[in-house]
Amino acid sequence: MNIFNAFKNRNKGTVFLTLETVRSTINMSQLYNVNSSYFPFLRNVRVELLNMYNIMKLTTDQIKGGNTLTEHREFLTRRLHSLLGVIPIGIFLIQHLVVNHFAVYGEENFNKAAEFMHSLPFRLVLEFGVIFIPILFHAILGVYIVFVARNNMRNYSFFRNWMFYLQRITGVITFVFVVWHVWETRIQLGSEGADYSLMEGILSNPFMFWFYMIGVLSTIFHFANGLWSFCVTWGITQTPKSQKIATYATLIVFLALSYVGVRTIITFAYGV
Amino acid sequence: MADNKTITFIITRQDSPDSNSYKETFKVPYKPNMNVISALMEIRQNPVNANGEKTTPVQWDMNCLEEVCGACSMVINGVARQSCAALVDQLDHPIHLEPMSTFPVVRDLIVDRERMFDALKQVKAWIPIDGTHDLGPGPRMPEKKRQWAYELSKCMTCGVCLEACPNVNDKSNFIGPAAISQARLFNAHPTGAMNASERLNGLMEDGGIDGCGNSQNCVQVCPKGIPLTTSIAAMNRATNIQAFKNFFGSDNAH
Repeated sequence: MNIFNAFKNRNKGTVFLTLETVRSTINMSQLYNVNSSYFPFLRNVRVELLNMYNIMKLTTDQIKGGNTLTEHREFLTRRLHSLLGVIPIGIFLIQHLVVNHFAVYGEENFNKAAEFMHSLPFRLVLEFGVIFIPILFHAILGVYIVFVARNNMRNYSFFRNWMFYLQRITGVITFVFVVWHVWETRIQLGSEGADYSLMEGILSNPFMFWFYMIGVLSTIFHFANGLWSFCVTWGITQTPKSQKIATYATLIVFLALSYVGVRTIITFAYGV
Repeated sequence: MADNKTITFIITRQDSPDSNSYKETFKVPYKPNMNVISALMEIRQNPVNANGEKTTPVQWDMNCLEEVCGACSMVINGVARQSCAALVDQLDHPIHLEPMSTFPVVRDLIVDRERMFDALKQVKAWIPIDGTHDLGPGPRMPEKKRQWAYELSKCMTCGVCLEACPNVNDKSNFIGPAAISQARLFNAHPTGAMNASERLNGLMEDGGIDGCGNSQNCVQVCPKGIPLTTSIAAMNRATNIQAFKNFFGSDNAH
């Protein structure tokens, strides 16, 4: 099939030029040697055809290959953002809340657990690879995501739209809280480990008590609701029913982790 | 006297794409069962505002008048919907009419929805069967699949889902839910599935499916009841798998 045959059949419907059509026409024009001086206009046609072929080839190549990491950068960054929120940050959050809960069983127990965590081998590598770098990436891209949304709960006050809004609000609160928390209980101490008396001193201040209360609850909400959208982003929950059940499941995660966190804060603040 | 009853409309108007918008109030004589469009037609017949001043008739877009063409979308009392299906008796008064804010205004209530067609181009929302010879019949489609795919085919590109989406706005390049669902429709088609990866790669381009923040307003406001959030989750799964295929390589990445 070439352009001339396609032109002959033009009354039978729309004629679309494919890459093969153009290539075969160029080949045919070479076969009949139409670039001769008798038909100078045909040479222009052939140049046009070659141009057309090159453009089409370029586009086809872009579709066929070239889907490398450099393209789809926005997509891959957002998928990484979603993944990091659960692995490792979410897993670290659960571990952190559970280990801190040792405080409820007494000062000695907490200090033993904190000392164990502090003396883990390759601690700095673990801290940077599992905690600091993933959180920084998640937080900085997260602030951008908050910025590009235009919230509209006033006119569209649906449950999920509120969750969307709260996810962004708690994300910002969590960011502020985590920066302060890391400064106060990690960077400020240098190579020293945090212990029970440090936390007792911080949380017996009523302002800091409520700052930590709001910060911890925001973090847990952001994680639990983030788990729900993680399930959608990774295509795990597709049907409305599975998404609804995921809502209940993540609500349970929120309540359970909130108990663990709040109980620990109360122990540090009031010793009970 | 029922004959003297009037309906108050507060309409956000704009004379040209570049001029500033302003609000103008109209009092329209009430008729039983009237909808927003018939009220706008009354204003067109007698373009006099509530102060009794003669003004230009309000411009709006419409076509089918039975909620299948998608042309007459506007923001009615704060919520985007089809004005042909908005019955005056069921609305709070006074009735506020505004153009959809997600799209550039052409004039008054008419907006330019071209970005939706650009989005359809990005995800290649068509099935390429045109050629220079007869390709013969395509593969058959399972009846069960046809039934849910038919629901997706009801999309009329009205733009209501884009207007309700908090992530579709002038600060982001997100293409919105409609085109994502259309990519799913054409990927579900047995002949369309032969070019499935091209649509998935389109969804993975900038402004594609990753712009979704799961506020799920789209599925709530869609006038055709299209399961848009199911489509988004399904395309999330498909694009993730496609991304792995692209990177690691696969003979099935067609």
